[in-house]
Amino acid sequence: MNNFFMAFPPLMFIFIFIIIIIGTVKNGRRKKVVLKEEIVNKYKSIAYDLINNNPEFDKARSNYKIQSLFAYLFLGLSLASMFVFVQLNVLFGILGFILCMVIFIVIISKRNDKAIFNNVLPKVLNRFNSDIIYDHYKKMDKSIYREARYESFDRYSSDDYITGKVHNCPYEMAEVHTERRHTDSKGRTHYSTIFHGMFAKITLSKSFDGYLSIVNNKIKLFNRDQYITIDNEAFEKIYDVFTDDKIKAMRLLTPDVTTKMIDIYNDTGLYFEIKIYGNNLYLRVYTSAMFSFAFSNVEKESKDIANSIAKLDSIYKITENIINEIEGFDV
Amino acid sequence: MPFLVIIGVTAFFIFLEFNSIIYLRNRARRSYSVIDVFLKKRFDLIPNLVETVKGYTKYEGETIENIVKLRNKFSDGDYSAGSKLNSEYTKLLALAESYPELKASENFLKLQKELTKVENEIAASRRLYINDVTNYNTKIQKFPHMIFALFIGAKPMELLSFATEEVKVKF
Repeated sequence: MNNFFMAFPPLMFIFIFIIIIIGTVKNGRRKKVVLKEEIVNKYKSIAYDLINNNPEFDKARSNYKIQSLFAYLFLGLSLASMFVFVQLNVLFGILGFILCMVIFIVIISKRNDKAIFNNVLPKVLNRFNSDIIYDHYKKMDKSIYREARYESFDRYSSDDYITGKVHNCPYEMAEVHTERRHTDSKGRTHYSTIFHGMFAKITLSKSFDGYLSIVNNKIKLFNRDQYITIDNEAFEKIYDVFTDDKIKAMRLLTPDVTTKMIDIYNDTGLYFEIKIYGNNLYLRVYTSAMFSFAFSNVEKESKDIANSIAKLDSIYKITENIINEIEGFDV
Repeated sequence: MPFLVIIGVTAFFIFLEFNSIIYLRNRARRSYSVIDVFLKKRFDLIPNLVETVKGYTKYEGETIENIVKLRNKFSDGDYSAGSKLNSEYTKLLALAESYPELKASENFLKLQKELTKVENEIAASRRLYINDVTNYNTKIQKFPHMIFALFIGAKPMELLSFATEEVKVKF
């Protein structure tokens, strides 16, 4: 029994350590795709102007600081209760520790970025493009994602829903995460990511009257009759094009268009896939978490936001490029 | 037993190689015939073009007559008339520059649009053909594919030699 009392404080230290680690991992679960420094820097001053001296942003930041202060206060109190446990009263010590830890966990698990996603980010995006309507909690419907006929998946999640217009074509876009289930030899289930990034559906005013798919290099074993070689070596290295109308696809994918696509890819480092069915254009961009944000100082915060705006702007550029070509296309 | 396995694997490999070369060759040939389809489509627009031009021009009888003759030859299967037809066809289109009324006529504008589309289709089909031929030629000239290509008598195909005579429609 005496041994247990001696072991209790170190065990609690380990417990607290694990809690902090879990908290850190949880906060970092929105993995970032970091764009090239020079691209992000282009938007950094815009982001800085948008968040510096922004009352709502300042309020959210000070709330976060108060929240952190309270969290660390209760963490300290839980450590102090261990001293009570060893030196004064066992029952008060255990009860005090449990109570402080519960309060600490409740405070730390409260999402501090809620104000950002609810109030600040929609306005920031609006100032970047007035057509944007952003809802962090809204999902892209699974059935819309399925319309694009990508690979099958077992688990689907979505958030960061955006609607608006690009070149007068309405679009809806959201962050999508699809996973595939695997079962190992011991019967345990695992999930592996198939796609994590932004998915958009754009309704074009003109129809392509067919199907065109520009995807990352795939094995062309079963659909090689629909595969076409594009006369752009750099493009060929990254993308495969499949279509049911080769001439129309070649007319659309002129060397000029494919070069522009490669330029955007080289500039941003973002992989993207395009599918066109009739007058619907589906775009998938491998951005990972699109809007990731952590409070720190204005400098770092503006970098986070600049990263998101840069990704969004890249998606716009890709979309505009394709829409321009389709709109000027005589079907 | 190991001997049979080796023979089986080799036979399977030969089968794959053979099919792959034949597939690429047929693909390139098919692409060539697609160009032909669009060239015919272009020359099918000539009667309409001639009719439209006739109504606005008075002194171009010789050009029109020539082009009608060449077009008929081409339709009858004399493909050697194709290159001459191309040059006369360019002349006919250039006439619009000298006749502002023709250039502004609704029929001519409609034809212009159709011709631009056909020209784009021809250019696209040529690019497709060039890409397919390049794929095929690269395959049969690379080692070890060249051994199988030699075995089945697969020869490199020519890239478009008539590219220099390409008609460029400028309005």
